[in-house]
Amino acid sequence: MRLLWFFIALVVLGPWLSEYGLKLASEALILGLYAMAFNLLFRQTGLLSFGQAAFFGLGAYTMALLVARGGWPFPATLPLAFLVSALGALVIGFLSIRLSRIYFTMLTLAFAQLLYAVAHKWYAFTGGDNGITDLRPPGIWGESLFYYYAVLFLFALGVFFLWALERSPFGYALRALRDNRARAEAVGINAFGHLLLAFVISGALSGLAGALQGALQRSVFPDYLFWTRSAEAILATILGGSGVFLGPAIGATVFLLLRVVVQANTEYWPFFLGTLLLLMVLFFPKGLGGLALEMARKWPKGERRGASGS
Amino acid sequence: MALLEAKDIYRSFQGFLALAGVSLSVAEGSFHALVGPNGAGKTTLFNVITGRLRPDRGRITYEGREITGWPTFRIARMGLAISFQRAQPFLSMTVLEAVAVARLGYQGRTFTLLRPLRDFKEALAQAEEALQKVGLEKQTSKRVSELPLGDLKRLDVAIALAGRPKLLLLDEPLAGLSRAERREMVAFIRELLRKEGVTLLFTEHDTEAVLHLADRITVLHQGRVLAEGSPEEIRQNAEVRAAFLGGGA
Repeated sequence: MRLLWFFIALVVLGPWLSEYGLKLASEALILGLYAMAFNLLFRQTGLLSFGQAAFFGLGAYTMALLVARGGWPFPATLPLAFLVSALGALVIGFLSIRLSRIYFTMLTLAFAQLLYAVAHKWYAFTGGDNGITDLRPPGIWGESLFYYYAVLFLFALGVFFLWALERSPFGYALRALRDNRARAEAVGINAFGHLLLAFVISGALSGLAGALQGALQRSVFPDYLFWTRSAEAILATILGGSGVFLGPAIGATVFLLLRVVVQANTEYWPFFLGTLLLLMVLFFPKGLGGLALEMARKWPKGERRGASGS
Repeated sequence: MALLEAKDIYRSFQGFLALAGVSLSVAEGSFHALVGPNGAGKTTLFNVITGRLRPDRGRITYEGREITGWPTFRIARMGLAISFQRAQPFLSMTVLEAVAVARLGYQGRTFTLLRPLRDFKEALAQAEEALQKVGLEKQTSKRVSELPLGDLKRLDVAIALAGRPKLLLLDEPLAGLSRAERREMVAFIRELLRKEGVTLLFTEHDTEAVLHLADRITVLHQGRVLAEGSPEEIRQNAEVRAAFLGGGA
């Protein structure tokens, strides 16, 4: 129910936004989808992927190459971006999920950096440093308001999918594995199979986000695959709170707004971001989402207590 | 007929021989105890049987099929369930959810992505039934993390029973319980499994409880079978008295 109101608000918001506002809102939704895809792994399975950019970048490059080299219309590239990143996640996941936690994290990072190096060096195919530019989507897709709604639609689709996933036997099995892996395997749950599928879903959604971001920026560069892009998903999740379902999306929005405000006023965005993260982790480990939930819980209770006391 | 057979199992850890040729035969319908001092190899043998550890040598057969080297989840789906010594089942769930997801796990049905768990009426009904068997039917909507230790152990048994197992392994079911709780647990296990027709293989340090519950006892010592027999035979066995029972009992 709360989720529904959230989306209605986002739909109503559209026409009120300026051109710039629409771009920023689209970017927030894209980063939100990306962070939520990351958090599917982190929250449900306890796996910390530091290579989420691999799939974000795979999706973006799939879209860009098909449009620029293959002459595909932009909307038709989205399912392919989804599939190619899913495939990439299948391979990377297959090789890294067997490893214990820290090695899993490092290996995902290594794979993402490997893809970054390929995109960076392979001039003939990816354009290297120059990236792939002039990716303006055709017709109505190039208009900011329409694009915002398209992104919102896909974001909503992704969020409802993740929401349903969490309540399904698959979601519970993931939690069982996170809570107590030995116990979960002893009741017939195939750990590797479940974690791999979760990894593939997470990668595919990240790839979709990457493709959407590439079209929004009208260009794709190797930094889509760089480790800082992986870090963005983690930062948004910490800011918003990994324990709250929509936390990463909230964190993504705050992250982007802060970046705009801070970068307009100082050159010290990384310093500012670092300080903020430090404060969040130390004092609000549940993130902004957790904080909001706590306040929402306390408020009506306080009123009720007041009423019964009189 | 033997439901479970372990033949000549060897397993070592970095040169330490934890199991040195253990053979064990668990008859269908029996209550079989595995006893021995710490380090005798009981837990290692359990881990080999459930597939968490691969034996260096030897074979495990269950219901006449060789299961040596199978992954844990496949063995569990064959109807070979275990309840752990340190019962910490799925702390983030409610009691009912924890048993229901186990039920679906045994059936290999947890790859369902979009249908919510609460629509799986059959699994939920089975879970409630399993909880009723262990006496937790009033706690179904409680969080697992809120349960006291005794109830956690019962819940873990319910999780094991949710798969309708033929063979149940219990690893020190009485550890950490008070004297009164122990007596209650022994009576509970005995009554429950007789009713269910489940074969039991268990380890336990509490000698009194073992002699009371088991109809067959295997004594492990330093990775080898020291003796095997009925409780009466084991009680009389001089070697066992020296190594394990300490002349008491």
